[in-house]
Amino acid sequence: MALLTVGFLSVFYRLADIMLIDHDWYLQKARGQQVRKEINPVKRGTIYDRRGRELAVNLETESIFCNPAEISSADETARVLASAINSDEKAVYAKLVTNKRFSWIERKMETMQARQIRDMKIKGVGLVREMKRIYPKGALASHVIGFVNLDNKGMEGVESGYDKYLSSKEESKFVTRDAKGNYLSTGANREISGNNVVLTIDEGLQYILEKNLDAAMNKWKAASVTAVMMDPHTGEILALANRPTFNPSDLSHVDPNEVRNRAITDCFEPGSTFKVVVGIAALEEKKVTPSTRIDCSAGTVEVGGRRIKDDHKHGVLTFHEVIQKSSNVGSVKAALMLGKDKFYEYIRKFGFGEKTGIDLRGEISGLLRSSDRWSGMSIGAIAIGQEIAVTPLQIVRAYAVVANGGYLVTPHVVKEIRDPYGAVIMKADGRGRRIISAETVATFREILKTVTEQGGTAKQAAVAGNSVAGKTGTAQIFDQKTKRYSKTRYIGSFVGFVPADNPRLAMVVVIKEPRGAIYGGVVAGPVFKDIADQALSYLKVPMDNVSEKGMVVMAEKEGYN
Amino acid sequence: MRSTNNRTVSALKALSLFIIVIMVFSVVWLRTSVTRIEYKLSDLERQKIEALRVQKAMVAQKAGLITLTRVDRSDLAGHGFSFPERKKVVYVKGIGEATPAKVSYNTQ
Repeated sequence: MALLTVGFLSVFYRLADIMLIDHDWYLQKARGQQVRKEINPVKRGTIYDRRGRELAVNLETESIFCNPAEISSADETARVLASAINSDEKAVYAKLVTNKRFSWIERKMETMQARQIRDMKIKGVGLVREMKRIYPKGALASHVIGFVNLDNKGMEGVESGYDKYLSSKEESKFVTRDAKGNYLSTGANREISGNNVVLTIDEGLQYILEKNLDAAMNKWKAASVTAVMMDPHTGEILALANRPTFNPSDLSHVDPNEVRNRAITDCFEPGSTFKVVVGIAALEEKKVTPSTRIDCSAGTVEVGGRRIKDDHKHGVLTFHEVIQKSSNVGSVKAALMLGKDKFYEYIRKFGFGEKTGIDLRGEISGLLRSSDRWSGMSIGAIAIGQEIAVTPLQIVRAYAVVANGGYLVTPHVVKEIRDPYGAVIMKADGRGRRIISAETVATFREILKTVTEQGGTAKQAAVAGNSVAGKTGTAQIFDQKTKRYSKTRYIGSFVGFVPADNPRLAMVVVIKEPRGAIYGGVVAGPVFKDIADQALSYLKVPMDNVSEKGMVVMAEKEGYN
Repeated sequence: MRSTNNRTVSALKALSLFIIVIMVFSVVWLRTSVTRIEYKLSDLERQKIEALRVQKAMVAQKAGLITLTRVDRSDLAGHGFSFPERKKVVYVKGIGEATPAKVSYNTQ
């Protein structure tokens, strides 16, 4: 009996010791073994096109790490792991023998590989869930979407510019495990997600644009090709692409030259496409009317000691014909009528010499000297698109002014941002401000329409069934070595909008250093035509002449969505 | 009278002891139930995580499958599928919201 009592008392004392006397010490010890801090992986927001198609999504992967201090045999562990993850044994070994307490072995592995490693139960080796960014459309719209680094931080494009919306703050949670390692839930297990971004890009239009850029790149063996398609009324970028390009899902062999978004980071002398400024300024200031006759018969004009020539002598042209036939002499004479200060004022009105404000990083403002720094020949050179450098985006924005009735819009690629529950938290507003009167742009639009008609410089840009308003540009590239314009390297471009009377698309196509032909009307005009033709089909825009063909027309609800 | 009181006290003691034992067992039963629910929850969460993982993979796969690039380059073009071309388009006049659309080639 006494023995039993002593036994009970011993047990009682031990229990009292555990539960009362040394309770805190044991509690701490137990928590150290049972409770673990885990970080919930953050799901980066999805990027959609304007019709809700996924352009950037997430995959859940697992990453393998180790605590080198806990590794018993680095040689053996390296051999086993290298075999499982198809990696170099020496590289894995190096990660196992560092002095750090934490070392990544392989990031973002496929699930099967991760399971295989988990089943091995190697001491000192662990796995953690991580999100991997996937771009299911491959290289499509890569210059707009951009990409992220290994830590899911946006590095380029929308991924970078809207990183603070797409990403979210990491949250950690405490989980309890039993002796066998099974988890006991606390009930708090939510997925942390960033906001979703809806682009103005339309995958269909983007595909059409890129397909034709590839064809142009192959045909002209060009150094680069760029095209931007914009809704002229809202400034929404519907498609934007450059060649060469890259695949954001595979950045292992990417050349920085491929990543550059030339539409906003590269500038070029626009050549005759810049005549839109002098043309509109001269009309707006009532220096000319479309029927004003300008003598271009000499085929040359002298400005500040420099002779500016036409390709061939035109004779006396109306102002309308000066633009239609892209006469340099006529354009220079119109600029001289304006004077340099007025001309400069209009250049600035069109937004040249400053960033357009597009919501992509890396945009440049182009090159434009203020009028007090112009030389005597500058007014002539700038009138024909020399001594000034613009980005493709700036030039298409200027033509959008003609398309939309005189408003300078702000281009943008993000339409709206939605929180993870679908509520809109930001909506883009690209509405512009009026810079030119509606009468002037209507007059100039009629002139631009004739550029693609008989007698114009860009008949090859004409779209069957719809009138096109636009302008060709052929510019020599300035050679920095010789400090002269190259006689072999050119940039051919075409910029315009379609349908001319009710514009749905404004677009620029720029082909740098084409081989075999140089003129914008020849190299860029047909690309514009092909893209516009397919894009109008895609958007179900009827031909202007369907009524004439006896078809009953139409019309679907306006808009893209 | 005294023996009656003693019996009552004894009965109360026994009852108290019984209640204490029941309470202890209730607490233990309650605690095990909570633990069992925690295990169940944990298992459901694991299933949810797995389902979400599969969902993400499927979304990515679906988005990759329906790219226009893939569709255009597939054999679909040889099986009657083609991208819209305006020369083949019949323009339809929709009359009102609910009425059927009318199509005609006749010149009126």
